Amino acid sequence: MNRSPFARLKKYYPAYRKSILSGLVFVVLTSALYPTVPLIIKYAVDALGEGGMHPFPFDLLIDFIGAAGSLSRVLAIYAAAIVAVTLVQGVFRFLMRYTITGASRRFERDLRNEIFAHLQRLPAAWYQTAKTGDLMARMTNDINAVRMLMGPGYMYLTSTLVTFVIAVSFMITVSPQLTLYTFVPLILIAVTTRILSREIHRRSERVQRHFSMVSERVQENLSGIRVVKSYCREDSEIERFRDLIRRNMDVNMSLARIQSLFMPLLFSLVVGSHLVVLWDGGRRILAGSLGYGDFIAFNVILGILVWPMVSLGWVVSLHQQGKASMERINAILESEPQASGGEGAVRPPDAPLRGEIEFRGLNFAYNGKAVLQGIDLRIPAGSTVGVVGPVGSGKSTLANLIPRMFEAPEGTLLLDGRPLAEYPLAALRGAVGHVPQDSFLFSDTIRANIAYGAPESSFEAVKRAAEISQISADVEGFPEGYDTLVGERGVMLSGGQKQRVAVARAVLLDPSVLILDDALSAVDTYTEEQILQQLRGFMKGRTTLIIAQRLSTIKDADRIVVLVDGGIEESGSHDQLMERGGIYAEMYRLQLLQAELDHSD
Amino acid sequence: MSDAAQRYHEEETLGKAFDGRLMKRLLVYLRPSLRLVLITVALQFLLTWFELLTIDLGRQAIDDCVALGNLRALNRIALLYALLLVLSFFARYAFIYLTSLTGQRVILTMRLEVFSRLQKFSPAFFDHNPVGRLMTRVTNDVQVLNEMFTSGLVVAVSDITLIIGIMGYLLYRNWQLALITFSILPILFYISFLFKRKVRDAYRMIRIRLARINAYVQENLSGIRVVQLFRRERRNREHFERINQKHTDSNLKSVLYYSVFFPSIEVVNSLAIALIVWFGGLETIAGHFTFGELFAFLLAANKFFRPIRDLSEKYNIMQTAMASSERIFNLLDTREQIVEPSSPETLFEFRDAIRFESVDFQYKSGQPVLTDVSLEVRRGQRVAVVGATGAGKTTLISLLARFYDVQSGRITIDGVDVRRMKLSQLRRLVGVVQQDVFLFAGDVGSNISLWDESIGQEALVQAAESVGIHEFISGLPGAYGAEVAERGASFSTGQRQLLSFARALAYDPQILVLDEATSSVDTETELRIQRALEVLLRGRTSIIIAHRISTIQNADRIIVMHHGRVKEVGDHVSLLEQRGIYFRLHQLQYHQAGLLARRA
Repeated sequence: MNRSPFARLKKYYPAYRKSILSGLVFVVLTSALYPTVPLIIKYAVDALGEGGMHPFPFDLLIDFIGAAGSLSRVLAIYAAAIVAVTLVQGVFRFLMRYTITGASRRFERDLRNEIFAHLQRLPAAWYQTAKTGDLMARMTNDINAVRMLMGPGYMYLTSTLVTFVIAVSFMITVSPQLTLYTFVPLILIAVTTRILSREIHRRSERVQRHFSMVSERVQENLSGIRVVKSYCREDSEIERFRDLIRRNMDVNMSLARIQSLFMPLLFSLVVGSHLVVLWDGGRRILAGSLGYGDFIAFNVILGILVWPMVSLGWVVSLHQQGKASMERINAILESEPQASGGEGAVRPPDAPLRGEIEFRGLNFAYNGKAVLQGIDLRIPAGSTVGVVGPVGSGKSTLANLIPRMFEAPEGTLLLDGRPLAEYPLAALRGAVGHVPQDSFLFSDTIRANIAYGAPESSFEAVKRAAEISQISADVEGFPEGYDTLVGERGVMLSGGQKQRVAVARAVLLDPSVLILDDALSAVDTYTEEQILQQLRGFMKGRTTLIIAQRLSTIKDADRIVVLVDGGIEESGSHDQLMERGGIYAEMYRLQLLQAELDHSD
Repeated sequence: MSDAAQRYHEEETLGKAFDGRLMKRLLVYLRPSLRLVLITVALQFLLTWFELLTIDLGRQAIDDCVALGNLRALNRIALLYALLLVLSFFARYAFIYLTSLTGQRVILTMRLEVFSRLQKFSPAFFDHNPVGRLMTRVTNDVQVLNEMFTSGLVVAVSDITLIIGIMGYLLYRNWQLALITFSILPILFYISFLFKRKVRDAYRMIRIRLARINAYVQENLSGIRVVQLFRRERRNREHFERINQKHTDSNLKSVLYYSVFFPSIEVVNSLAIALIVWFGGLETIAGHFTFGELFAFLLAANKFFRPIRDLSEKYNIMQTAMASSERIFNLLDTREQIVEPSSPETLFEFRDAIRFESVDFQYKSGQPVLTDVSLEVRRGQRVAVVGATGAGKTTLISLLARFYDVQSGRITIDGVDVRRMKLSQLRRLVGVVQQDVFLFAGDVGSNISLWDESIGQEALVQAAESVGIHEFISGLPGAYGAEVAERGASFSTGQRQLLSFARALAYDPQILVLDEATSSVDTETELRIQRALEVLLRGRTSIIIAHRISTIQNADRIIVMHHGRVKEVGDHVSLLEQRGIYFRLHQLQYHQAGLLARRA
């Protein structure tokens, strides 16, 4: 890993070449004009003393206007020149800022787009270890840190260098020695900015850590508030919190102690360089080697040089932060997206699938832990299979393997007799309608949610899907009908409604294989029966896989598979399994009892 | 996209930058630090004076030394200048440091106050207020106020002092030229004002659009499975690019404003310098003005532009602070529903009985959870409460510990209404062990003692030994000092149960109320828990929401709850004979146990 973390950004260069180059020109022009105003001030002050002697181009200008005799006019010309130069510089400055900062904002947009697009393609397994909060931070703070470096960071760096060179060359012509003396404090500014900002950064991180400790403590306390109350621990909790925030205050003050140094030090160094000019410059005037004009110009230039010097130290910090951020972003961008499949596919991808599924001695392990073992299961096209079993028996994993949310070992999972990898990923997922356990909905309208996988569908098709999943009556009862917004994650809907929308979403894909992963748990048994009945008609000739806790859901399936600890324990029709008197029969009796109890009063 | 997120952020739309009522309340927090505040103010005046002195020393150096050819005077002034440099370094350092200290003290007090206030709320309050939002009050909102005190208020005051000081100095030196210089101030104010308004609107837009981006990303990451299953990658990317573009557009707008603002300010600044050069030059020639004064004017003009330019920034800080303080004060002003009696009845020892007398309760109106519940638990009895999920069992416990107040009827202990008792006394008397064991970050020992210093190490060990978890704890690295991380993720369900028993035992309540955990554990752990439970219940009055057959069978009395009512009361045998609800519950439990046994 010798490559610079920024190497990835090279590909953006062509798109921004124009902005970067013109921005650079504007930086140079802007910075070059910085020392001009002090120079004019010097001429003006000199004119007060000597009279008549004006440097180029002011001599020509004064002659042209015929102001030679009138000091008032001469001064007016200098004054006007000051404003004129600042105006010209202002235009350059505007162009510089607008070009460079603007480009950095567009670059930020491009980088964010790239990360988002990449995130969309990362496999489900990758997301198992990723934390959403962390990814969000990378998409905001880290992108911003990189942008700050690429835009303002490099702009200030260039500006500082150019200003510096030009200011110094002017100052040297006036007095090399005085320039040297003046620069001692100025260079100290850059050095101390650098040293202090490193230490400030270190302590700020500690402050951040402590701040999260405070947040965590509050969160914990509020989440466990019942325990706190049960044991009357309110006062000791307050005491503990007091200790924590006292320590937090100490940490904050340790940052303040060093952060408070920054401005005073800066001021003192600036004043120090003024002192040098005042004292040594004053002596030189006395000795006759320096004019009043030079003296004043020196002082004004010092004022101009302070901020570039400060920003020099700042840019170094920006570089470090930007580098760390870029590395975090690279960690995302370098993760492998899921292979889109279809290599060596024989069949044209759009030929309809029949939906025959076969597990062939499938073993599946996740994080070194065996989840499924020795699964042999053939699901003929057009049949309905129910999968039941205790929590953690591997039912959901089994279902997730089919649309390749997890990758089954090669050759152990076949669709229509061919390994899954032979189908293009998009074609495969288009053929598999999956209703996941959590029935995740997006904060959009009901219509958009149903049409999520097939956005081009007609409204009629959407309504048809809604009818099959028995949500249409509910939706038509809403004042806004299908345009009802469901809110974040669908909070505006009840659990059962959410599940039915999720079913409609899968149905609208017109899939060859439909998977319901415990997808009707929040729907009452009557409605559930209705949905299943509708699905039976709709899925005729296609395959349905139903995972359920409630046995009534899968009672009528062609075949029922009982999963226990990742293996198939029993399998057969309801009647066969009941006759067998195994786990299934026991589970069934239990649920009957439960139902009986629920209905008594 | 996510309109919830959008609404949330638009809620943050800022209001006034100054609200006298809020400000008055905020300033109260400064009162304990009054001395510090006075010192900082004094330092501020000192610093302004130093600043002016520095400028004037430059003038003196030119007029009184250089112009007169007096080298010794120049040396003396340089020395004075150096002294001033050192002094102002310390004064400035002290000023900034003390300001931070004041700010830190204020937020310490405030944070503690908000936190303490939160401790006093009953669980009902937390049912309505999400933890995340409350956390923001304690953390970010208080932080914002710190910024207001340090970067906003103090800096604004010191900037204003400096501006006035410099203006005064310039007027004193040459009032005509000073007035001429000040003539550009209206332009400066106007530009700053215009800029402030534009930028504020732009920022609001940026915030809203960024919130939209964040909400969209968050949603996509949380629902990534659905995104991929339904092949939305390309469409979602396109949508994202659109909202990202909108955000960029707003950003570019603010870039434009900034790009115009700073150069314009420079031009205005140069106007002032030009005026000084022109009129000052003329005055110098006329002999009304010296080179030194010209020098001082040029320097001073530079110094008072920055503070004026920055004043608009302070406005934004103040605005945010007002919004935060309003939210904080709202929280502090929220009334608690469960109130302590003004003259509580004392009850140190439980002698007779706990009674529920025709208790009705509902969390939400129209959805009764308990209806006409009457029951009695006599001293020394062990009562089991059974019933299906949602029968109202847990609510019984919550009412007894007065987490909520009954809507009608009453609950008494030895004839005293729980609402007439001091809360702390009631909860000392009635120990509640909840179903889901909550472990705190900290060490194992503290999780038993809950930081109660009256529970010594010996009592701790004894409690742990009694419930049979001492050996396990001793085996941990650091034993009782071992860290409990992430809410006890490193402990098994059984171990957590035992820890919570030890906790209850250490507190030794006279009445124990226990919500038995339903989660299944292996046989050995099950036996351990049963043994521990026996120890815990020995010689104690107890009410147990029971799931274990053994617990139920060992109870003196069983109360069967169904749909919020007490349906059957009796002992195990008599209830079975009734062949009612209990009978069915019992069968269910047996079947469940059977299924578990088959799996094992």
